Parts: sequence; structure tokens; C-alpha cells
Amino acid sequence: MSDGAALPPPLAQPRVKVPEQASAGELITLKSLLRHRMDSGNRIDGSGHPIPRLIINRFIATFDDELLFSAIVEPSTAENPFFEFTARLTRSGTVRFLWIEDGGATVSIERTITVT
Amino acid sequence: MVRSSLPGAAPDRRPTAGGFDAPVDMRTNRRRLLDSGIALGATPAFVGRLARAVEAVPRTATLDATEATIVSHIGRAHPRPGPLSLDIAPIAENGSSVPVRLHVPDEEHGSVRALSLLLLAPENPDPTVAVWHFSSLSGSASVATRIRLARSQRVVAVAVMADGSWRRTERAVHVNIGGCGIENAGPRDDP
Repeated sequence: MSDGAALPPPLAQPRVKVPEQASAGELITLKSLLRHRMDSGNRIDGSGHPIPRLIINRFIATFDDELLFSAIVEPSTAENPFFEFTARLTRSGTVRFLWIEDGGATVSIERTITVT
Repeated sequence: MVRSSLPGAAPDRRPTAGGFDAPVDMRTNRRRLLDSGIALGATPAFVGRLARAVEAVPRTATLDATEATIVSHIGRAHPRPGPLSLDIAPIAENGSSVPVRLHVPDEEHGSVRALSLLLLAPENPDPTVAVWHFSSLSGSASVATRIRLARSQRVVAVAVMADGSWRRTERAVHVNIGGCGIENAGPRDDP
């Protein structure tokens, strides 16, 4: 890689996979993916300079502002952090996914689930 | 040490074989802690919890680096057996992105819920992969992700249960091309 000195890209639009509908009490699967280099701080660029650490260090999923799932993310999580987890809901509501980068930048996305 | 600071150290304490008879020693600790706590007016249930917490502390400082990392995250040193699955391929072509799935199976009705899962890659420069926390909305203690593996190693998963106990499981993974950019950083000195 010779472009190691390039600025890291801004947090891009994340991708999530959430069922639009679910039955009450059904176990559903939620998937999330964010494009991110997850620079661990251990790498060296093409000209021999260390690439500073810049990772997503938190991931939080809420359901109508109630905590659903959260992660403390460390550099041994691969680039483009992917998380798949479950939920069992009893009412319709909005799932919000939030990613927090070193330095405090955030990106989030919401999806509504209709529970019948 | 708890032992020396407790009041009323029993003179008839059972001798230990050169101090290596840990189970007897632990029981003595627990018994004396229970007695002294109850004498001070604490409820037996509370003192029982306290005694179990004391037992969870390792008696000797023989933690390896992985155990020390686990203790730093969850504050406990000795796991209790229980189901915890860690699905990861035994051979990873490329260590820069290795799929992994962790799951604490639901047991019989009324069983203990898993609060958190922790994944470690002890041979990586940063051994902790992530800590995941579940909620009453989670429905199951299950997570899938992709991890970096710098080299072949045993990956360690830990589940923290709602009753304060924890479980541990390991899987060996052979890595053909290491992740984490180690190959660019030159060889790392192995101890």
C-alpha cells in the first residue's frame, strides 16, 4: 500500500439487514456492516511510518431507546466490522444502530420493525 | 490476605501439606469468613456471596496472560463448566478476516441467562477482539463477527452468566497468512 498517508475516509453509510415484519416473541436475526479500515495502530505504511490507530470502538443497538445489544470493539475485530445478533420483540418499534469511532465521530441508521 | 486479617483465627486450623492443600485451605477460609460475618450481624446469604467472591480470587499469582486479560474484563479467575459454543474454522487462509460465531445455548426452563460474551485472540498484538453485552430483548446470547488473527493460535471465548459465574471455551485455528499487518511490520520476537 503506497497510499498510507491518505486521510481516512469519513464514516460511510452503514448497511443493516433487519426484517420488516416479525411475530411477537419470534427470534429474529439482525445484521450490521460498516465500511471501515479499522486501523489497529500496528501497521506500517509504504514509507515505513506507523499508521495511527483509528477503529470503531463501540457499537450499540437500541430498540425504541432501550438497550438491545452493545459491543466494546477492539483492534482484533476485522476491518469493515460486521455483527450479527438476535432480538425477541413483543411490539412494533424502531431499531437504531450506532457506531462510534476513536475520536468520537459517529454514524447511525434506523429501521422500523412491525410486530404482529 | 483475607486469612490474616480475619478476627478469631482458629488455633485448631487443619494443617495443610506445605501450603499446597488448596481445597482445605479454601474451605477453612470460607468457613471462617462465614462465622466471622455472621457474628458481625450480616445475613448468611450476603456472607455466602462474599465468601464465594473470595474463593474466586486466585490463591497464588499464577495467572497466565490470557487469564489476566479475562480477569481484567470480568474480575474472575476460575470458570465454572457450562455450555458455550465457539464456531470457527480450524484453518484460516487469511487471518485478516476470519468468521466466528459464539453462542450460549438455552438450557432447561429457568436456566441462567448469559449477560456478556468476550472473545480473545491471545497471540494477537491486541488480544481482546470484543466484548458483547446482551439484554432482555436479545432473545438469545448469540453473536457472529469477523476477526483478525495474526498467527496460528487458540482462540478463547468467555461467557459471563447472570448468576456471576462464567464459562470458557477454546478453539485452535491454523492461520496461513497472518492478519493485523504483522507481515508488514516484520517478525515479532517470540518469548
